[in-house]
Amino acid sequence: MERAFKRDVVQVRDLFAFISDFAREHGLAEGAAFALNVAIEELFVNMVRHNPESGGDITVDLSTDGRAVTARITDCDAEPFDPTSVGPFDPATPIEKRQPGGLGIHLARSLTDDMTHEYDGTKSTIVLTKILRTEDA
Amino acid sequence: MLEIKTGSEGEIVLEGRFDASQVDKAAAEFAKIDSTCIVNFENLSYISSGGLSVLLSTEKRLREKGHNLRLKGLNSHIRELFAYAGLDKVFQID
Repeated sequence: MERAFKRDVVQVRDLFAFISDFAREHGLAEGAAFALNVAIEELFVNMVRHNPESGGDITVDLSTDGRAVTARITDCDAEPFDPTSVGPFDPATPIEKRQPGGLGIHLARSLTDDMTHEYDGTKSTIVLTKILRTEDA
Repeated sequence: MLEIKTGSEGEIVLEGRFDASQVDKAAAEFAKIDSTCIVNFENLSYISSGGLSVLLSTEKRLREKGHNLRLKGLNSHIRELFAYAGLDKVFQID
């Protein structure tokens, strides 16, 4: 199922409703739904903040084969930005050395099993894969 | 939606979802904290990096005065998120 969202942080509420509907429809465990919520929110907000002037929507497409969920988050009018090229975040960084930013992509990576990036000249798509495990309940 | 209430003995009670859309409102509330404070997560179902950043900046500010935040009642998913972010070693979590 796919839905387009306006380029605004307040849209995360509709995004959660969309993910919750998908999770309910496919019987996802609470842990998997939580992980997808966080990972997709982080990437959506990243797209909103890094490309605020674009008039295009951001689309989210969710699908599952029963073993994994695939989430495709597409900025329909974007310069190329590959979040998979962002260097690793060190969770051991002490509080006094922590700077704002960088945590969202780290969380999206940590909570899912694979993250890839596609760019076709105007559309930037991040593809997340979340393997469904019984311990995610 | 996030609700921020003041509970018994001045603890901060979080209810609902602490997502990116709630950061400005929450930052304004947390800016009022000026000494060691308990933050009750028992009715908070969700948090993302936006919420974590508000907590982290508040913790930094309080530490400069010798104070800190004390977090309690985190659900298992939020606790796992703190661990991924390395914040389980930063905050005092009961």
